[in-house]
Amino acid sequence: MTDKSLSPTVVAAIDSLEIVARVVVEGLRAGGHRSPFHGPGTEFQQHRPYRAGDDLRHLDWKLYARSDRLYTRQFREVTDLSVQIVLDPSSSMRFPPTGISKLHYARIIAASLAYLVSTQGSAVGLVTADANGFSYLPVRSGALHRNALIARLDNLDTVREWTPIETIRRATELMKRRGVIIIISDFYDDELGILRELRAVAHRGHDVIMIQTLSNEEVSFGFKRDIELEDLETSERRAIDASAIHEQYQSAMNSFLERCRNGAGESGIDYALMLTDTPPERALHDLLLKRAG
Amino acid sequence: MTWLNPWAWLGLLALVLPVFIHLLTRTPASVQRFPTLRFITVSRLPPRARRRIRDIVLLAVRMGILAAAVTALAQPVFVTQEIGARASNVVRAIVLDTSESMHGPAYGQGASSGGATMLDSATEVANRLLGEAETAIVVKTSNPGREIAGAVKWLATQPGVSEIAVISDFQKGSIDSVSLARVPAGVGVRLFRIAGVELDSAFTVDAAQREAKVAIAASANRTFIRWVPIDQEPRASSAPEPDATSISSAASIDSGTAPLSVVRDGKTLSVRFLKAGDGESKALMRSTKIPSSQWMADVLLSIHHDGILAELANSGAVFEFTASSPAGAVDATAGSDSAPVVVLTDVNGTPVVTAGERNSALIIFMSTSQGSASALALTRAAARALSQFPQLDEHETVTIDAERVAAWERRGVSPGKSATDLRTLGGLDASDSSGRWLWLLAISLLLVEWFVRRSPQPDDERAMLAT
Repeated sequence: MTDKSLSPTVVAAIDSLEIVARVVVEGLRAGGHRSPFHGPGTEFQQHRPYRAGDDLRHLDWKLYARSDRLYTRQFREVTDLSVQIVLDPSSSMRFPPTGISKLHYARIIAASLAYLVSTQGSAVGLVTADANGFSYLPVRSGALHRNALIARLDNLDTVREWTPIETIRRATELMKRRGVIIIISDFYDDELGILRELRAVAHRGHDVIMIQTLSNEEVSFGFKRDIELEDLETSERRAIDASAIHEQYQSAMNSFLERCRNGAGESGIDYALMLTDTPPERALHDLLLKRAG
Repeated sequence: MTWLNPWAWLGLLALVLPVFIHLLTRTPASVQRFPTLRFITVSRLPPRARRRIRDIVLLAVRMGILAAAVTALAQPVFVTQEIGARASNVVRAIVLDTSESMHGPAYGQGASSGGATMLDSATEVANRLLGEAETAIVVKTSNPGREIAGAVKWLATQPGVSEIAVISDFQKGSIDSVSLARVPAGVGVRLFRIAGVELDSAFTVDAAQREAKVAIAASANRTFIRWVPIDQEPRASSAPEPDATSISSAASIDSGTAPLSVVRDGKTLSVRFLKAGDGESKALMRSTKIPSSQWMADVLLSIHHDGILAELANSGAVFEFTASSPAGAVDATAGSDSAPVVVLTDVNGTPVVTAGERNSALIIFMSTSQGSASALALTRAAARALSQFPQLDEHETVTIDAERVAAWERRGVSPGKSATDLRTLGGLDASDSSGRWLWLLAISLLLVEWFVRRSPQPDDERAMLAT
């Protein structure tokens, strides 16, 4: 599957986000991985080694008798799974200016997940922001709704005002029952506050997935000369000797990523870092594989 | 390898210039949009300690240009077997001008600061020439032209490439075409001019019906007067002719207390003589200043060149020194700024006639007794100077044109060789230097620098972001 992955450049070249989502999801399926969204369904999906805390009702006692090992049975949720996608359209997502921006990449990931969930008969919704402020598509199932959601993603552009904590809170409130909340962002806006809010969401029984979308340029800070950086959100400018502050930047960035990863892990939140130069289906494959495992 | 102009190596100090330029000059920072500045705490451009590779190449090329230029100025000479043989076979007769004018301060040296004299500079040149030649003699003379013939005779007795080197300030009369005509065709002639004090601080005078620039400088025991004509056209003189040129009238002036004076153009020119033993001489001497008027310069110069007076001064016997009596002797060291200028010295270098200006009058002090032959000669010389200004052309302080001196120079030739065979010339000069190839190298490096400067930047951030 890895070799057949479509490069981000090829994916970005496809005009229709729906086709992109379909291509990405087809790529996922070709790899033999099914939906990672396990729920209280009746269709047996697979066994996995027993872990402390697993529901004892799902222990396969017969298999234990045969193999003398404890395995938990997992079932595939067939229906009634609600997935709410929260997408960060803030100005910082417009980076990098050339190639695939973080927003574009996030739209592909969101559309692919929506397509995947929808084709499995589950409901999916979208919470983001646009020029008018809060933008919301309710959690519904069906092809028509899916197309509407993808169309909304297609037209999504960056906004100046983005309040992630409020948006997550409202997205949770708008879910009528427990489900999966996927937040796609670079988490540059108060990541500790966001993590606190996501922890509260997880405590309410929701399954939370945190997808951090970043570009390789901002992670590795590949600048070498004297440059003047302009903040995409605040328009503040700072002249720097890039090679001189490279180490300091790298250290701060690593600390930030570590905070996000550890914060998510401590709260039982699935976390995935997706770089824009990684093929989307490979990034999704890794995420789904991790959740399935 | 040797260097014709080793002082040019000081130009290597200029190599620090490109380094400073590279450190101080920064390419303007390009503006890049970035998602967040929260990880960047530096708020301004910190000093950059190192440059990129491309800049180092540019710096190296620029330093190479300067180094090539400095080396070219130093005029390197690769001493080949031929050049070495030629240089080492030179037999040189060095004629060193020790005339009075050579005791003046050298170019760039103050007269009263006790700095190097022109003779000191000339001696340095003579020593260098002495070291460069296989065999050499130094002839010290106050009349270089007169010693040329003797130098030629000595050179005729020596094997190798013969050369006469004259080191002088080349005042008119020091050397001329006639004296140089005695030098045979195969003997080289090299003339080294020693520059004297600048004339920037001199004053302009009307002398001998011509406008001239005169610089008077005085040291503890000598006076230096340099004359340079400004215009060449003589002008009609309106000076009256006072009847004071005869010995008898001079004697009458000398015996009296009234000063020698003459009215010219409505202005009274007054000269007063003070002899040894005059009670007020010492006090007056302290209160005088260096003469600054044109007519005073004329009088002093005329006295300085007076034949009778010079003979008397050189004989040393006619001046009645009273060394045991300080009041009688001329105290040339009295006062520093107001010290009178020395007009004449005796054979021992002791000032015997000095002069100063006070209340627009020229005061002349001399260590002679009233009525002596030297006193009369002095009075006569001063009176003659007042009555008839000297002709500029007669002054030895007017130097020979540089073009004429250059025309007299020629190279020596080995015996039995043609005079046009430049490869057998004696000594090392600019034509032996590899300087022109270094200039070519410097120009080539300039082209390289232009190409390097215009080459695109390989690691441009925009290109990096576009990938």
